[in-house]
Amino acid sequence: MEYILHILVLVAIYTVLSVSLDLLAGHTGLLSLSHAALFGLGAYSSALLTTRFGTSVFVGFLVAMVVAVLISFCISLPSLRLQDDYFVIATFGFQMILFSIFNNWIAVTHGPMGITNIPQPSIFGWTISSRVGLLVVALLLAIFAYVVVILITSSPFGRVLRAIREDEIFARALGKRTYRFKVTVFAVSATLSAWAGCLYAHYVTYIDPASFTVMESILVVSMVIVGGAGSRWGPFIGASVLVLLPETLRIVGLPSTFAANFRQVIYGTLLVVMMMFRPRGIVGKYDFGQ
Amino acid sequence: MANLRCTGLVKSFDGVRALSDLDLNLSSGRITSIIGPNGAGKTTLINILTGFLEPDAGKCFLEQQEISGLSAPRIAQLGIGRTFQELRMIWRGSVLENVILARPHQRGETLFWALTRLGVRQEEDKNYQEAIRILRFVGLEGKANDLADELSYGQQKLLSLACCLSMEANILLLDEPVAGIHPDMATRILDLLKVLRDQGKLIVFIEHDISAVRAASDHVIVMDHGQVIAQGVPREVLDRSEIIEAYLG
Amino acid sequence: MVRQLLINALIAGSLYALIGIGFALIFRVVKFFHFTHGLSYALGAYVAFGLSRWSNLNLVWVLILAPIITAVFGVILYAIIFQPLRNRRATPLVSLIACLGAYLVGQNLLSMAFGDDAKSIRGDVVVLGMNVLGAYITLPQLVIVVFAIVVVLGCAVWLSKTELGTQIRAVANDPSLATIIGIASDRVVFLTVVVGTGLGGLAGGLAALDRAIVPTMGLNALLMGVVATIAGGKESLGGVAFGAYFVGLAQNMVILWIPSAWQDSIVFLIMIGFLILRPQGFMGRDTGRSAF
Repeated sequence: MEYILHILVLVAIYTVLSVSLDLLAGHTGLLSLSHAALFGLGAYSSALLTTRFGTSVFVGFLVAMVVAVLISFCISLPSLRLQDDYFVIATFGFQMILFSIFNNWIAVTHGPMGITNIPQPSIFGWTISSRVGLLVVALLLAIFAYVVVILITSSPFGRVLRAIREDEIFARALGKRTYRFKVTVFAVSATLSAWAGCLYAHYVTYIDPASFTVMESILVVSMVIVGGAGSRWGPFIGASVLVLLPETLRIVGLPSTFAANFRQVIYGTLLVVMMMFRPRGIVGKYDFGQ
Repeated sequence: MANLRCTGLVKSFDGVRALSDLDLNLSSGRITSIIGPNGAGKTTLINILTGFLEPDAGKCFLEQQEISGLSAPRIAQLGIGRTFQELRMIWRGSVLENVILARPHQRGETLFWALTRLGVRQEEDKNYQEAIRILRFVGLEGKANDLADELSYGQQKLLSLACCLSMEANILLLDEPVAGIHPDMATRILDLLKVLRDQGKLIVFIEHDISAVRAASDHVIVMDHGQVIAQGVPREVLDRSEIIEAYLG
Repeated sequence: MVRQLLINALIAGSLYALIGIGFALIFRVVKFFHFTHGLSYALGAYVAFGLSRWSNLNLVWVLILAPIITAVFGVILYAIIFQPLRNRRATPLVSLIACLGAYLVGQNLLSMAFGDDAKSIRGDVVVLGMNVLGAYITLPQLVIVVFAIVVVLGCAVWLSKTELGTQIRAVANDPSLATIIGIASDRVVFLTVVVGTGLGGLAGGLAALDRAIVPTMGLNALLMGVVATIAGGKESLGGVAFGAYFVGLAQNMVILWIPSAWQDSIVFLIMIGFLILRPQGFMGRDTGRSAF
């Protein structure tokens, strides 16, 4: 039972990540390989504040948002004019740089040793430590993320995002200041991913750089793609499929290192197959310009 | 009365001169057409006027304001609309969505209002009404809910024009608005341009089709090798032998 | 100290040049970021490792066979990834994602087959190295440098003087025009992929002589190749070589000022710098996909 709850928490956390990436990649056409780093920024920010300075989890979330937005500017501003695949490469570079910071800035992040004893979330002094309680928090965050993204995509703001995705030059010719939109949507996406990271940190209570590598970014990309880019339920479906699928492998009884590799083989194969046969995924609207 | 002009425009690509010390003076209440062989620099001129390219030298002015350094969206917001030679639109969107997208000053396009939604509904309704009015004007009302890529080529050109109007542009720079479409549709578009001219808009179009130029322009500018080689009333300009040579040569 | 750093820069740059030339060759022709090149590199290294461990072949043969076997892998890669993508006229973004997936599969298969621990072939090769002008360089490292120079020059000659080379340049420059004048583009792309993959395998095989072999080695190598290609410009492969040595130099000289853990980050910053400074035209790509 604990195990099932744990899986559900993971699905919720990855749903937040997926939804935030889909806003950027599926709706605006900006595929990013840097979301694991943004996830990590949230995790480290909140972890550090709560362990080093004893602040509340709430403050941790707040600061994580500020950090994520600032870092997102560092990524989006230089990359405004880059098209499609070059944009992806740039975010790849930023992911590697940020990971390097997590791994090498030992004074702050403790490098590979990670940060331990991260407190669990608490409201008004009441700590949430039960699995069910944590699941509720995770679900609330997932619902919140979904509401934010749906509000954005169904608004005129979202209409401009889709225009940027379909033909940015046309959007500019109509007077839309596309660079502002891109920077803004990246900041929103980064904030949501960072919050997923905060939740993750306070849920597992120990983080290290290994959870925030480019492989993790590729995993989130896979969720968006498999579920279906640019759709409403795609991110949730993708997150569910890609969290649950490997768990069924574990149930079958594969040894764990083997399972870890095999699971990535599955993700990789899904990416290839999807791109070949159905770039828009299970329920998606956007097929990456195909 | 709008006035669009440029002085001394120069632009080169990889050593090839696309525009060579070009001067231009355009006023509203007139339809000006720009003709010239391929590579004459016509589209480059439009790109520079609309902020999609930066000139190597020279300046452009809208009334008294210098627009040469401004970004494309900024220039569009000043009321200069354009179409593209290779049609651009949201193919996967409906005709209506394309036209509503073009509406300016949308509060709902700001993140804050998109999230709080106060007053956005009313604004959307207003924009919807205006979009329908524009589609009625160009004659695409019946196709409002069709996807853009389901339209015929000629209807897509109409849609491009509708988007410019939706932007509330007073200056329309149209790149080949009637090329490659059925003559009846071409006439329809040209007639629309005349109506718009009479409403006081400044209209410029690039075309290869001389009959369209004769039928609709008040003023013709002939370009070749990045320079204006002739301009004037269509009847005079088009009959001159050098012009014919420039085209055939 | 500075001399050793310069020698290290030369060695690193040479390795990146080998990776970069193979990457750029394929990139110019297929026009998308084929992440699978990282696999070519890793495979070349593991093949070299396997051959030296489980056969009696001497290293010269190992260095000949590694690229050849990797090139065979290139044929398979072409058949299951590149050709289908071309048939579907996949956009560069879609192709990039597909190659990313393929890379993921490949790296993990290597991990499953060989384990994640570092392997090496250093047993029977001289390790300390010769003293050259006050710095140390080992024999394998010298071989890397020599091979790099040979390959760069060889490719330059091959591309400009042979018929296939000319066809490759034509397809790289303007694919539709190339088809119109009668070049069998598919065949050219196929051969380029095979040769490029082989070069990647050669780089991997050479690297195996000098450094540890791990399943993740392809990723870093790939990124070096990408940076070299972006930094090097559009026209010649010589530009890629320049980019590669520039990266090697930057990566090694920064040790004078910052801790070595940040070396790779410097490379990525360089890459991002070049991406920003690339001639933008109008938000367009220089490979002919620009707006106007």
